[in-house]
Amino acid sequence: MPALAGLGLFLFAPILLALWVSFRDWSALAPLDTSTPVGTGNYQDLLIHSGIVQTDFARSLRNNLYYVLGVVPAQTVLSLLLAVVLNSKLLRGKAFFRTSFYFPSVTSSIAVAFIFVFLFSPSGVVNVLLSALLPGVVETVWLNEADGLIHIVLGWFGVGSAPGWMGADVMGLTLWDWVSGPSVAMSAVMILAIWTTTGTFMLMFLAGLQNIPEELEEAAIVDGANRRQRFFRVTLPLLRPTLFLVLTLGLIGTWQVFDQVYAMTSGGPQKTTLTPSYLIYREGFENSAMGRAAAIAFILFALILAFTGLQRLILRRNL
Amino acid sequence: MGVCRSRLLVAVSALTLLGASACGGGDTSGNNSGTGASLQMYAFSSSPAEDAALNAAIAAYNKLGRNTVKLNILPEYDTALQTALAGGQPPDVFYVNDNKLPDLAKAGALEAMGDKVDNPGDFYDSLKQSFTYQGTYYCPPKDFSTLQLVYNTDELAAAGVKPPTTWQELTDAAQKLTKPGRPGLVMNPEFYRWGVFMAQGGAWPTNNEVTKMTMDSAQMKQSLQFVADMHKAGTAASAAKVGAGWGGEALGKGKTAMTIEGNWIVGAMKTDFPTVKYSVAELPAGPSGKATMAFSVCYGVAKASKSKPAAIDFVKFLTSPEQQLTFTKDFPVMPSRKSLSDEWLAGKPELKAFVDGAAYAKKGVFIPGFAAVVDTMNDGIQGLAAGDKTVDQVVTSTQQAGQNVLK
Repeated sequence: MPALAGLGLFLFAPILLALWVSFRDWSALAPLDTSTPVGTGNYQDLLIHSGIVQTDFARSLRNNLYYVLGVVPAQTVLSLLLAVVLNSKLLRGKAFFRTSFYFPSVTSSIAVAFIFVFLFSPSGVVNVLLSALLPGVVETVWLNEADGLIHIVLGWFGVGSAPGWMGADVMGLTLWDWVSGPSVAMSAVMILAIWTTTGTFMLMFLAGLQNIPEELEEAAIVDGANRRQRFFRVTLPLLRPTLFLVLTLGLIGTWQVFDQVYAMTSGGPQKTTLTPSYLIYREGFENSAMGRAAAIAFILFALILAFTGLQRLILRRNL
Repeated sequence: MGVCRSRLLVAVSALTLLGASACGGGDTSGNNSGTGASLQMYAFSSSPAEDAALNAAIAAYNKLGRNTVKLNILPEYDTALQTALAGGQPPDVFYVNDNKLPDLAKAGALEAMGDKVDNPGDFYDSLKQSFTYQGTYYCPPKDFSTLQLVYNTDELAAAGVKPPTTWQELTDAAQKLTKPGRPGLVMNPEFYRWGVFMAQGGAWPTNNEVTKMTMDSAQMKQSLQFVADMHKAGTAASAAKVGAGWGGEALGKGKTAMTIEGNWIVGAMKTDFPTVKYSVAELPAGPSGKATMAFSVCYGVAKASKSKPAAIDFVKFLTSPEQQLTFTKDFPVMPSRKSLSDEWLAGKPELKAFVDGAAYAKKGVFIPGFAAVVDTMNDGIQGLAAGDKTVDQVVTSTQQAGQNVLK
């Protein structure tokens, strides 16, 4: 019973209260009883009514979608790779590698973000390295580049601006804007996220790998399976629960990205690193629209549920 | 199990009710005499110098024995203040940034006490306007800053360039001071810098009453085009482009010869770049004459404060001429009282341009919810600075964003 009371006080009551707030107009600059009911107004402003609120929300969804599509596969594959390497019997100094791979995950994300700001600054290590490798001097201001990667690549093939049919408007953004790809600045944030999370997921895969009995591998060798077959036909299917866990946690974590954006770019340049979580903060604490911020939170919640469900379906069918 | 679940439901709804009623605590008891109260103050700090000045002022007030003030200097100021306000237990006195005033006033968080200090007519009218919402003047300005042209004295002398007085001269000066990879002028790509050129060109995002968006005008396009062209030519650039956080850092590190900043640059140059020689000149005049922007902070008194008379007594003390002079002596913002400008300037004649700006400065204060419009405008200005947006695009998107909020 005390556990339930604690759960109620710290979990259910705030969630219910936030749900209630999402149906009200509340500046959060005065007590809650000064708020006025607006029905589904906050949700309509975000999803239906065209305007600056909807456009910003659409931008944040687009940015975060590319972030998820980039970070989740990369961190999953990388961490699996590292785990397999660490799990091999031939490797010496396992403890050292395990610790160094895991190290980024235990460092404060804000501290790491600031280090990345220095790395990507115009006179930072990234540019120095590129200048040494490439002809000429690289002076890119990475965190100030708003051009989308897909737009840049299209530009190489001579597609510099929107073809006519891509001018259509979806939630306040043209189709051309939707397919921009992550901006250069967002890509830097993505690299940071991959670097910091891989260690944690590597540990999970490692635990999963160590749970697989050695006899199975030996039996496969006796049956004449080569390395590739052993990995894809024996190891990977047995890792399915771990894979599901890693993908789910990755998906949830990436849809909630906030601290890296807050520390590195504050949503800029040109709103290309704005994410729903950062938008919640901006609307709630800078634009004095806490009701709208709460509504974004619940839409994000629904979105994460949908994505997790979808991923579960796909994983069940394909493996 | 059934019993347990219904009990849980009761517990949850009781807690929710409790939360709702606790939020609406309008306590009427408290101190009404103006003495013997213990007050709480929230402030943010722009520099160690401001910390010291504020602490000294509060120590002086506490010594008088009328009330006791406890100061909280908060790093995440807006968030902390908002939490206190939302919880119904705000500090009695707190700093209010001018651009936050409309939102706070609309939410009913502030006591209207601007005129309850000594000789209220002495404050600059333009500053009082910044803290007026729908005809009510809420809180007395603490001090203010204006934007002007800050330049590297030696470099301009060496290049034989005089501080520019017109747009044409600014273009020429920036060009002469530009070296490969190093622009002559650096300014942050945001409305609170670029706005000075809008005003100089006779344009502004809204009309004076903030009832109509006026982005879509020939003057606005001309002003934005002027600044965008300098960026395109490489004679002007954003601070980020040269690897600096803001204009002052770029100037201090020798990454530019000129920048557009306010009074705060004085403290930063003194602590971070003491060897760099710099001067302050008035910004050049545009087609519509001289113009700049002023920024101010006021001492707000919370409407929910339980010791309002004491809080007002404290603000009266802080805004008294003697206190303002002491406060602004080492911390180079300007007193908000007109009568003090000569005395302030006597100690720092080199900062005359900042004081002169008070006569023609525009305020960057609009209406509740306008922050979202400024955000969209900044998005556009960043695009202009980077050269991947056109003036027409920026004008249209900001005009639309504003119409959404002003409607």
